[in-house]
Amino acid sequence: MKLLAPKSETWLHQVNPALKLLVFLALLIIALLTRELDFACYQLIFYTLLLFLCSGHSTKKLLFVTTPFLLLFVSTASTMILFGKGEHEWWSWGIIRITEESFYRGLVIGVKTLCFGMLGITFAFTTKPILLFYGLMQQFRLPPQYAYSFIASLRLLPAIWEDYRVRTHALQIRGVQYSKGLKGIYERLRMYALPLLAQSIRRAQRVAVAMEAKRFQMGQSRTYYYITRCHRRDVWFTLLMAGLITLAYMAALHFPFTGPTV
Amino acid sequence: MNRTLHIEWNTELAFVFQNPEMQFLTDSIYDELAYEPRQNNWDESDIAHRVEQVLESFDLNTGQDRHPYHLSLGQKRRLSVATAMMRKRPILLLDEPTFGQDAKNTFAILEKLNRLRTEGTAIVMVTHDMNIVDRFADRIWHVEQGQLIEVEASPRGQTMREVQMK
Repeated sequence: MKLLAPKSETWLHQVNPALKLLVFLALLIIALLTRELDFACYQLIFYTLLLFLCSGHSTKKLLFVTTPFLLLFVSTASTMILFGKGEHEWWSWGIIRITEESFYRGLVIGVKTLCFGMLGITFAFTTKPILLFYGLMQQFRLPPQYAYSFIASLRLLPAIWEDYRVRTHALQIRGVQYSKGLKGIYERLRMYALPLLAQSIRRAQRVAVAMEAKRFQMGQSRTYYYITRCHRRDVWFTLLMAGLITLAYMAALHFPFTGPTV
Repeated sequence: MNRTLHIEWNTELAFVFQNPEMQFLTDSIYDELAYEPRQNNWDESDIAHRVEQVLESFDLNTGQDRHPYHLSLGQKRRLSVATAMMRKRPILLLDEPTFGQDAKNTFAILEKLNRLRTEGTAIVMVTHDMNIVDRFADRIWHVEQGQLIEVEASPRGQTMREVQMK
């Protein structure tokens, strides 16, 4: 995947992926439970800085990937702002009712959505999926059959896309024409579903047979090709993230800039 | 010289894909073979006659109503080649058409391709079998990791040109 290839590897790429997942999940939960706009905004600022300064990807690519989250921000915030409840009404028209409380609550939800986006992109752009599953197996005792199943399914995704392309070309060359409207959609679905499904089932079966042959169902301890360990930098990473969230909280406490608490 | 080749899909070109299942469209061997002739408004009795011929020559007389997916890998491959040969087209592209065939069927497919070539069909075939290349190819393109690395005339191609010159 070219999209996920960084311009240069940074320290975030070196962090143990399983530990990174755990820390990022904790940060997501904190973001989820945040009810203060200032705190949410400071979190967003720090996560955005983390993504743009420490992910090792070009600013242009990051802007391209993060821009759609602005639409998500607008949609989630506006839904809450326009239809939320509250006592201090600012404006109403038909079923639309904007109150002070709904406005700030909408902004909090929007900012939280952006926080999720920034954290998610940072994680995806600095973590190799294969190493993540190896880390989960070695550090968090995830049973190998599940981890390798996920790895295999990740590896199969490009193959499914390739099958789709080949099928499209085959249908084109054999001159298949479709009806208009719903019938055409059904015909397309029928033409694609069976061969793609058949190929996927065959591949899955081959993977299952290979995994059984390698004794993945036995549950015994295994050796690993990739060894993932926790180093000192992982401790620093955890401390840094804890520091970041504490700093965001303190900044929200001492330098509030958005008005009332929701 | 940079030339662009304009090809009318389906009318001028037939393609045999590496994975035969990806090009099957219908639920029976008969319908699979009859698909393109029907699109070109052949008479149904002509289609039946041609299907009969093709099934015989490709050793596919295993029941015309069988689903193509229920055939063996070798039979599927022969069926995919057979659908491409149901009607004559100027260009035929084949991706390993003899893969999974026994010697008899390999020879039969190559003989049919050879006949088509002498009748004027341009045939481009991908194969790893150098015996086939030596015996049947006029020109050989060597491809490595998606890049064309060499073009050469095969011994057979040179012999043919010598014969033509004489």
